[in-house]
Amino acid sequence: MKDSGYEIELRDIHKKFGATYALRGIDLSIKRGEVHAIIGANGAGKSTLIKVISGAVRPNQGNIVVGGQQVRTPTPLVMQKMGIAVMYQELDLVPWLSVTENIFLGHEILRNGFIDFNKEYRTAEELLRELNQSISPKEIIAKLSIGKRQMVYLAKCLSYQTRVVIMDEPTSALSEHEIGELMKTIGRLKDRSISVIFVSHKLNEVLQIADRITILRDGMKINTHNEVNGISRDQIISEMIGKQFVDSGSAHRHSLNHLRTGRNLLSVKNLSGKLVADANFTLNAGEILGVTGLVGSGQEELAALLGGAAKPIAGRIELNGKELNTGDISFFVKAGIYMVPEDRRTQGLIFTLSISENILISNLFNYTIGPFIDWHRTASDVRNVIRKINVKAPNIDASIATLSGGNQQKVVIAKWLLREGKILIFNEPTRGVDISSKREIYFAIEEFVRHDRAVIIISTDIEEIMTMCHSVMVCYNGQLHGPFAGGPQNKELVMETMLGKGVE
Amino acid sequence: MLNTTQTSEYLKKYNFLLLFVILLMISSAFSPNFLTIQNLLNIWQQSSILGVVSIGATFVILIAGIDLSAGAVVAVSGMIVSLAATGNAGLVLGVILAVTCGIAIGLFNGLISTLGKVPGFITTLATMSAGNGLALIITRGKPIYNLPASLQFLGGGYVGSLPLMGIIWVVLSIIAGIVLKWLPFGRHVYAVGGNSEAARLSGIKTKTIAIIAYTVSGFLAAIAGILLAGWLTVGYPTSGGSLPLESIAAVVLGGTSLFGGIGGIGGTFIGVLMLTIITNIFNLLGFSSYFQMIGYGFIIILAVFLNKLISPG
Repeated sequence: MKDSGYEIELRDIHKKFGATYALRGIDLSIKRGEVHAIIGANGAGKSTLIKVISGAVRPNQGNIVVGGQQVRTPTPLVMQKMGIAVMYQELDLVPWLSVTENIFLGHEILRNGFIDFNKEYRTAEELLRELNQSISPKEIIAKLSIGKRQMVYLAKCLSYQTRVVIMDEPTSALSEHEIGELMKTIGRLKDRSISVIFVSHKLNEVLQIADRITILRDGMKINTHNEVNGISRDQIISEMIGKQFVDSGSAHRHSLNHLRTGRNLLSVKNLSGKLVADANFTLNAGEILGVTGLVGSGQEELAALLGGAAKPIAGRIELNGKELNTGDISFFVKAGIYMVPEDRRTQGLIFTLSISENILISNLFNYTIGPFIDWHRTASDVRNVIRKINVKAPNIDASIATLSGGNQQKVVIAKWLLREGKILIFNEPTRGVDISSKREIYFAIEEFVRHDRAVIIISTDIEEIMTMCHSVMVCYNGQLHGPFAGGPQNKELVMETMLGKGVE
Repeated sequence: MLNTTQTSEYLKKYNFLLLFVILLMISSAFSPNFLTIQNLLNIWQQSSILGVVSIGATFVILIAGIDLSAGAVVAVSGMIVSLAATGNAGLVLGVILAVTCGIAIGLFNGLISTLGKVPGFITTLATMSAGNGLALIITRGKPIYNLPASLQFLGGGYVGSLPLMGIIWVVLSIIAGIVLKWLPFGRHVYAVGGNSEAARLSGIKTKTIAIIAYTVSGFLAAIAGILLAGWLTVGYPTSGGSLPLESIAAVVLGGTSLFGGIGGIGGTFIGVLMLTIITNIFNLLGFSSYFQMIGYGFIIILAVFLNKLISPG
């Protein structure tokens, strides 16, 4: 067989989740010993593509060829045996085992049926030396920094003839120095003709390290640059964003006619957390404020800080001029600041309770006669709020698990509509939600702000942010930028800011 | 009319009742003495100590915790009330001291396992050991004889023909059932056990709920300790014995999930009766208590298998 020089070739890969395409006709080839960067905005299809290459997701259509050989049943095990490894952000290492034990986990060096530790230690040391690392092979993983752990993982890759290493946002938790180390190590992998697929948001790093760059947008491959010299950041950004504004048609259009008419409700002053640095903004009654950013830019933490679910390192949050007891969520709830969390399954809903009880759970003290709950009054109020937000449920005592994702999300929101709140904070309000539920959630948001109240939407869905919000702030590297006025005309500006244009 | 999915839901949820009925049928088939009023009253009375401890265990297990220290609390409170009742302090002060001590141990368990973030299993394992030691120190390792008639009445007395201890168990069960169903605190217990993070993000003070659940368990174990001393007519410093494990078995047998959030007092009541009936029928049939222990083991495994059916998702 003729050697094509390609480690991996993907041909016309399609992947559908439900009715939506995550990947549409992707062609991609990875050369031996190259660093191939894959970049794209949120939802462009990067993570699905990684999963296809690593065997975690089976494409609906298309061919995968590894080392000139077509893979018919790609599973994680098969792909690993064919020499493909993924270095995830959460590394697959066992924290309380030693460096050596982790490197040889699953393919231990044996002598007479027993582990030959001496030989393992020596081999581990050699592998680490090849990566120019002076990590002791007897050290416990938990005691190493993230950067060092990555090196151990790469040594593990070397130990079983890995041909291609996929790195998923490898620098997001690293210090400047560690990023430099990783870049050098990638060079050493190249010298051993191991290919690296480098998936990242960070354009500076990509331009520095990549031999070739592939840009994804909306599940499609936009371009592969075979020559990186001479490409500018701005050119890549415009390819990631796309010039023409595509109206999805499904998004609910906001009238934007009662912009910032109300008095000041919320003031955030010098708020800082682990990632969020010195956030300042105000929110008025009647306002819908959007915060967006690339995944991992700090807006997720900002949501937790604003909702009282996490304690800030510094700064203050004032409601009607009164400082809130930050980090105490029950205090926030009492004050009328409610949060619809990012993940309804693990943070929003209690699956052991009925629909009705999930809605009531933060409101039970409003329904007592003496010390006892008045279950008749709760039932009629729950029915009202369910009708208002249009939860499609067999009955209010049914199990949460019987509902679709969209209706589950409406239950999480209904919980807060039952109370007289002041501010609702949504973190990814419509993730994994069908179109009609999406529309109903948007109506509920608009209805909520009409009564002298306000909403903050934190979302990576740019269409949602631009159509729903009066003003939009962008989180980049933990810093807030903006506000920009909402509406489709500013979409490009906001996306450029998300990618760091004009702020770096 | 129930449709088939509803029927299977109910079957899953209340499978412990089915098990209970089968147990009753087997028992009455094997021994003609089983379904006599006297024997049933005995079963009721013999269930009471375990029953009261198991109410507390239900609260703790509902928040996805576990309380291994209940037996030690039973021993300590039994010793305190026995000493006080035979000494100068008197029964009333003895009861107050015993209950206070139970509450204190429960509160300690709750504080350490929530604020200290030590798993409940470890915390209560430690207080179990310390409590058992304390009970032995209080009495210098010796039983306390000559308990006054008033204390003996609490444990072994009858109201009409009904055992007082059994009545206390039923009343406490009803109160606990009302708390769990009709008070906001009770519903918060279910929420914390079902999904602690979602409960916290809903504004519930999840740590406070957990602390109260452990405290309730300590309080009820203290009550059980007082009743046990009165019933045995002697204060034994080692009387707590296997109560924690039996109470956990009874709670699980009654359909409460060890993962928290599902179950209730009604199931626990039945679960306690089932364990007592197993002991009872083995006695009536003349098997030694060694066989009973093996029987217990198998029944518990069976219950856990049935229990897996009810966990959602």
